[in-house]
Amino acid sequence: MHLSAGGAAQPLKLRLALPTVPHAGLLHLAAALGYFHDQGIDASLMREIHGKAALAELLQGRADLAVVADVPVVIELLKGVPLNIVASVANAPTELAVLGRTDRGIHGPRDLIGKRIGVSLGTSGEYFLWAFLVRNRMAPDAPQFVDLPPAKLIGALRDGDVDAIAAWQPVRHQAELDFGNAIVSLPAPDAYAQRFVLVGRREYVQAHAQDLSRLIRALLDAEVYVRAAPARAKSMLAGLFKLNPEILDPSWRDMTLEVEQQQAQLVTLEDVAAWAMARGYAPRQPMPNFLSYLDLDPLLAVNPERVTVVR
Amino acid sequence: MKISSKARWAAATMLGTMVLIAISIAWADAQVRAAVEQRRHSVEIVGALNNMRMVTFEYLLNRRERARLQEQAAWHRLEDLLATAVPFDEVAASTLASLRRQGEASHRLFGEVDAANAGAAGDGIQRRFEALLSSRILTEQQDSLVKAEQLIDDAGARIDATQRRVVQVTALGLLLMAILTAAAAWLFLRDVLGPIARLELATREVAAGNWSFGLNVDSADELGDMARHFNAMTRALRDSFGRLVVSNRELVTLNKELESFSYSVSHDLRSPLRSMDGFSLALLEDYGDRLDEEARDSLQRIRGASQRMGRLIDELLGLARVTRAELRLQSVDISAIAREIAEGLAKAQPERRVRWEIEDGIVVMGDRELLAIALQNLLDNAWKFTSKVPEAVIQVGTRQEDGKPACFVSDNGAGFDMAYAARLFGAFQRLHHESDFPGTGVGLAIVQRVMRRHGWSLGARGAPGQGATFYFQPTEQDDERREQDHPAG
Repeated sequence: MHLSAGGAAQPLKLRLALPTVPHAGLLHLAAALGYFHDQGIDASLMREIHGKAALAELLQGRADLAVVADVPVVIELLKGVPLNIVASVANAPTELAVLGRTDRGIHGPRDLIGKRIGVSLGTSGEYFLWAFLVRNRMAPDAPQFVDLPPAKLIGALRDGDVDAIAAWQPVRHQAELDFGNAIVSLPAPDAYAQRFVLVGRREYVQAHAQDLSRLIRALLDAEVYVRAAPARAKSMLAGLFKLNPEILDPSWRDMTLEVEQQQAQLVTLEDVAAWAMARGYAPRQPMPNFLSYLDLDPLLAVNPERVTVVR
Repeated sequence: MKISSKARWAAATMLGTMVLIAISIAWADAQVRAAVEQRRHSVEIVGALNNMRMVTFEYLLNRRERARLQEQAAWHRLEDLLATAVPFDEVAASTLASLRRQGEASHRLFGEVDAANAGAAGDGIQRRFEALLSSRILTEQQDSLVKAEQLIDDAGARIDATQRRVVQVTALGLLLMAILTAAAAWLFLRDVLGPIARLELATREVAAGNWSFGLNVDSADELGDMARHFNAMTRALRDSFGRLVVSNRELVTLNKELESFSYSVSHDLRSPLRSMDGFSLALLEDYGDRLDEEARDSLQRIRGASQRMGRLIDELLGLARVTRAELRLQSVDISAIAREIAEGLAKAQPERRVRWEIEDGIVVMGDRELLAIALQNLLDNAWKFTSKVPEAVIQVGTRQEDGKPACFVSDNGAGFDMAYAARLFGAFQRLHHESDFPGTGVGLAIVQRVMRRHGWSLGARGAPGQGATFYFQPTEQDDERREQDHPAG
């Protein structure tokens, strides 16, 4: 199944479910640049439209590992699905924002009270909106949430079905381009630092600790590549996603591709869990110990300085 | 390329390498100083961050005014540290900028919590708000601490990396110097010692008489020039020697003819001289009573003159014999020969009182017969020239002359004027009147000829009325210097 120390055995076959978003860029690049192969990993990529779809592949057993934002992972963990987070591969603290139509009187956070806000419920977008309201000392039910799929957010805002939307990149950037001064962008970097994590089923992760260290090594190589040649890395990703490189610019600007396991992540996971239980996305229960869902060993084995989780 | 040019090139390269190493060490020193400064400054930042976290936590827990004021002080201290210009590298400077942003965020969030606390209603929204911000503050501060500690680690890594680089540069420099030294040694062996060895062999060959030996050094350097000059010199010597050989052959032939002529003349003259003496004696014996006094005196004068001429011819024959005799080297006891001669002289004139001081054990390598002749002449002279001294002393011994061992014969007799020393060893040369000291003037010429045959030097010192000293300096090493090999005899 996996390589021996001498490297003479069969390469590890790994099925990776990855969203075609730059947040999973390290894995896409490691595959494209041959870093997985260098580490004796035969990776087959399952490209999904977004993180939740990638997580679904994992849950259905069609993938060994998936890259997804932290919110869906927390919801699944609260439902009792045995998942382990191998590493965080991207963080984007300034990517999400609330975009409000100024003609509806929205100029600042508190103007959202009583307004209709379009958001994709059950996603990191909704959690951001919830944290945004808390950060601005507003009750979660102060505005009215309107459930919209990501693709319909801009249309609803344009048509006036909603007064504001909570959106990620590149939807946020597209809206800012389309509406110009007609909307106001309200970010909240202190409210929610969105992370994309590499996650797998617990039994799989625990059974492949050494293999996952090699995977981590490949991701760190990709990280070095991104740091050394960011423009080339972005172009390569755009090519893989069959997109114009400029479309990736907003996301690329607002995020950092880094392999890490941070203490701050535990706080976020707990905050998300509190939100998920409050919103009914998961059954109410005592706050779980998320430390047990972090698999620190693969990263500790390769680069312990990247692990700041108190242990 | 000339050897001097190669030496200059090697010295310049060696010097360049040393300068490179020196620059490397100076660079490393600057790097280490900067890294040490980064580490010191980072430790101070970690301390300030710890303080800030402590008082922040205290405030969030108990809302004490003291903790709030301390947070202000800790932030100002941290702000100063983060604003201080230190020699950070690019990565560290980026981390420092990040720390500055996080510190500002943390302090700003603390201010919001503080402000919210002042007008807090204590409802659920407020609690959620404070919990959110508190978590954010704590995670920001923890992240800042991790980054600050990373700065310390980076400084250590910079020091390690610098030391490794210095070791590498030094090792490379030493390797380069070792290669240069080896190359210089190889070039020295090839271009200097090799040609010198060939030159030394050539000089030995030439010294041994191999005039045709050619030196094969075709390099364009100084030694090549020297070899070419050497070859030119041997060619010139070879030509000169060839001419000398021809001249010597002619000289030998002439010499032999001259010796033969001298011998014949001397030998042939003896017969008429004997007749003159014999007939003069016969006249005196048979007709002496019939001759007057003047006639008898004339006959006596004829006899005296013919006998003296006979002695002269004997001396000349002796000189010729010394020249012609074959040299047979053996150990010769000079002391024993001198004593034997002294006894003979004492017996011949027992009435004379002479003190002999002959050193024991004077032994030299030479021709016994010729050395005996030389000593006989020297001691005859000493005996003769001390004849008018009441307390005559004749010495035979050894001493140092001009830093070399010498045998000497000295006396306290009539001596001679050093101004005429150059004439001493010429045949028939006399420095005293015959009426004072009879003799032919050939003795010292014979002595000199014997010494020359041996290749030894002969010298003399003296002063009128204060005696004379004759010394010769035997040499053992250079038989080829002896006159027997000299074609001119």
